Amino acid sequence: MVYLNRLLDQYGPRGLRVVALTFDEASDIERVFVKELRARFAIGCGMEPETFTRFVRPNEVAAFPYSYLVDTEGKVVGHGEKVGEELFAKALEDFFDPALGRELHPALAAARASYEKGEIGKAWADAVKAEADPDAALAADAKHLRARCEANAAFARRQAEKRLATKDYPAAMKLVDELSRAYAGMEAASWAAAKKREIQADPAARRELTAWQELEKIIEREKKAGGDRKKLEAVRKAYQALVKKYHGTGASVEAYKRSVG
Amino acid sequence: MVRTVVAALLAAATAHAAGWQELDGAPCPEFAAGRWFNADTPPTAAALRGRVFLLAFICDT
Repeated sequence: MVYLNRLLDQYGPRGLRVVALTFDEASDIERVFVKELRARFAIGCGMEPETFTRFVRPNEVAAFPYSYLVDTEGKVVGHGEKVGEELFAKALEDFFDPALGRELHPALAAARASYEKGEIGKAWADAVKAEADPDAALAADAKHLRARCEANAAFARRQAEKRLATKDYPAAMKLVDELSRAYAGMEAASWAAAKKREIQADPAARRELTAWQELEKIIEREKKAGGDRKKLEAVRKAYQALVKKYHGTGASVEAYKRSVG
Repeated sequence: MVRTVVAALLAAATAHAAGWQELDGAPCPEFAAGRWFNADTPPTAAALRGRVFLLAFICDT
């Protein structure tokens, strides 16, 4: 499972989340993964059988480990037996801007560390300063780093623009928040802040966001209901009420699916 | 004989892998667990919308 920590090291600062699920007991997982292997990714123990059946064909046996890569729209884009970076290398490269790709001048160590932590705006500001240095090698590496930061920002902005174009406001809000934080000081962060204000000022977007927030609460209720038929019936009615209240939103479509599923 | 055993083992391994749904292009099904480590709130497919994430099914053996 060290692969999962490595994936987090490499892609976590640029937005990848890693979630592991297991049937194992919490005490075993705490001892092996959390304490011995120092896992830093989210681990869910005592996986619910319903969860497993959603991922495995009926009446078939499935071997562990197995993993799925999911994109920003919530769609599966890759899966396989290994959980190593090799399996998803191509897909991850498609999603995340490649790493710096070369060693940098030692004077840029702090800037590099900022970049790798996902503080791209800070790395960019340091690179801009260092680019004026009379040391030609340092200036060249600073230029390279600045270009990488700007390419990264452009990539992140394109992802947010795609979500805005499809009116996927919940995803768009997460991305513009991330842009504002990670690219602080850069033009991309200003753009993100402006887009956030636009989303907040748009009644349709606000309605969609509110609908998704309410939907997530109902989904939580459904999970807590377990097998309680009364509670599940109340949840079904709540989904139906959301469909009516927020008709025309993406959340209402999802609520409808859940109410009949 | 050895080849037969190896072939049988490979077939069994393939059958196990084949048990997982392919799901390419499909929405990631929702998931839940009893207890979470390294998570402030239980992650869900819905809450992770807008993020790229890797969902790994693991065991401690």
